[in-house]
Amino acid sequence: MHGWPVILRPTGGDERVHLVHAAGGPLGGDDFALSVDVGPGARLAVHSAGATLVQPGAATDAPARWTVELQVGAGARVHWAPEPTVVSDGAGMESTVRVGLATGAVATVREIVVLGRHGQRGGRHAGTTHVAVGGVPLLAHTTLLDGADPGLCGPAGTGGARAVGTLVRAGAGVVATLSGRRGETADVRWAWSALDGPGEVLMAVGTPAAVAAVLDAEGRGAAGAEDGPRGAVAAERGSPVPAPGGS
Amino acid sequence: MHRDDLMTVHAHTPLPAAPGRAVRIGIGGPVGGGKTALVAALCRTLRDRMSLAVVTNDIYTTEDADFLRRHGVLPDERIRAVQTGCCPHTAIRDDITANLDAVDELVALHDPDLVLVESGGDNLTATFSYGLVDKQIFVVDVAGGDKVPRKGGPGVTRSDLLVINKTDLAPLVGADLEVMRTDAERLRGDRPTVLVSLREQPDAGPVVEWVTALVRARRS
Amino acid sequence: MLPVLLLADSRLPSGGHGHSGGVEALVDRGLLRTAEDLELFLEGRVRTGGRVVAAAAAAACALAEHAEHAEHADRAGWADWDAAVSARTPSAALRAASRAQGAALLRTVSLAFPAPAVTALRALPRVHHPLVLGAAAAAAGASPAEAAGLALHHVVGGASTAAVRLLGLDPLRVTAVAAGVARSADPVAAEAAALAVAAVVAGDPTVLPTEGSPLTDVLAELHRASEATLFAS
Repeated sequence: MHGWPVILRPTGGDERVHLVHAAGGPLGGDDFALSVDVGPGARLAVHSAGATLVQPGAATDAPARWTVELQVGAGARVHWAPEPTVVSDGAGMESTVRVGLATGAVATVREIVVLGRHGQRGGRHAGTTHVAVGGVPLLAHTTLLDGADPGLCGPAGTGGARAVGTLVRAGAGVVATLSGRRGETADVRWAWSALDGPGEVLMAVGTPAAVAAVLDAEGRGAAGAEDGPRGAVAAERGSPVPAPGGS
Repeated sequence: MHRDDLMTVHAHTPLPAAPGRAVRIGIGGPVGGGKTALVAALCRTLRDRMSLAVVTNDIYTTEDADFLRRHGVLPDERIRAVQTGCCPHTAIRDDITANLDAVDELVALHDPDLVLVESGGDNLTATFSYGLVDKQIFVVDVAGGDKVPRKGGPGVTRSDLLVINKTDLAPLVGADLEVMRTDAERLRGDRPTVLVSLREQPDAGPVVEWVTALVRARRS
Repeated sequence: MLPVLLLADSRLPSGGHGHSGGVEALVDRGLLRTAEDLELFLEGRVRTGGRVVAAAAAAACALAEHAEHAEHADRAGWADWDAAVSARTPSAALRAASRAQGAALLRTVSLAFPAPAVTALRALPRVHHPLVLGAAAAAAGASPAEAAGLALHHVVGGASTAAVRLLGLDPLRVTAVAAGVARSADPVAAEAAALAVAAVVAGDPTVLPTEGSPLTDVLAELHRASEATLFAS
């Protein structure tokens, strides 16, 4: 096992941290876990110094494993936004990000996975995101990608696209203000969707550049929404029932 | 607390719609016969006399909603569109659950006197289940030829009211209105038939009378 | 077996005919044109979103079996399992479609299979379709694995029927495609059911599978905003 050292490097005062892959990124068989506790009222932004390139292990077919636990204390804010993960041909990765939000905590979690380097079809990636608010599950979702798997590259998977991106906004009091924003071009299809609880998710499927551009642009909107007014929770099942009776 | 738990429109009514106050009338018939024109006419004439709601199974667009709003037919919140997956007759007869859902939602929101359920255009055999509606109107038109009533089919023979529309076109298409009337009466027995031109009678007078009588009977 | 077959019948009034399982949005964009495309779609769908609904149906079936006595029916914690399905369905449009079909199916099975678990679901807000299907399956005498199979059967059947209607595909050829996919779906149902039963035994919905179908989720949102669609989802 080659160890896949990752260095956490404060880069923007005490609120901003960069993940740096000191030895070029994960290989098959690597197993990496990161646990982050964000204290009450704190603010933390986690980025990475560059894309994470996943490559096959020399001696094993096992995937690289990457597990992140983010516990966010009351009133704290976390912005988790590493650069894209690129899965090379023949490589595999299983990534799990678990975010637990205490009362009043807010998180944005951004992830982009790219199938292969330029000209490659790409390896296999299973990316799972769990988000719970006050102990109540809000989002539990896995995206399976495999450039060598026709079913996962087909119309039920990526539809031939190389990149999938998600941006989650979640936390007590988060209102799905961006839900309904959507777009469709030759390069990317994307939409915000309200979650069944305090949060919303942006989902994008397309070329790596277009997916990143959508997440960048919409991420700025999400940052603006953090400062916006908190309105009523939208109804998913329809309009409220009026009092019985009437004319 | 989950968002869904805060909002329940008709959470506790997953059984067939209870016979409430609203009279539910289905409006069916072939494409182009004038179903939508009849719904619009009934709404315009009746909306000031009673509380109304409409479920449409027709392909419904924002443009349609805008049309109804612009012409003051009904506010959008009193209209529900049900998508039928290319099978309009299934949605009104074999699997009425989506339409029941829409009717229940409108009843919960507006407690209307009358709910009109407009079928998507189909053929002469497409009729409503009486699990969905109390009465049904079948709309055909003169332009389809004067032998349409004679052909029969459940829409013509068993509907509670047969509307033969576009009587103004009879001379133009060589249709004999008297033949249509006598054929319809022969096939329908006691069930009423009206011949109208919704273009010339935009208040849909005879149909309004029939509908009003049903609502009055339910109220009493 | 015959009561269970009623739940597999496309004639069962449950609102399914108005939903394409994501096929209309693909067809509208030229992303699904042929029976081969449909096969690829179904094969991928079964392993991702299909596996999730299969496990949810199996879990509901197992829960209903545990709660077959009326006095326990309301203690099955249905709301937590319903929330678990929601958390696994990031598309609001697909959650709405699932809840609409759940409500539709519940109307029918409340009369056809009025078991305590089915009745308990009526006391809740609109419940996700696979949970209603699983509870009804238990009332009809099905096992959790069979309930998972029913859920996958409807995933395959709904999409196949929609493809025939929208594309004019040869229904005989599409049935052959569905049969092939069904064979590969059987082990998915069995495995999803095993996970679901373990989740029910542990009383922990969070261990249910979580796979999604990225393009299906995005297109479901785009479809909801599209004009003049023939299918609700």
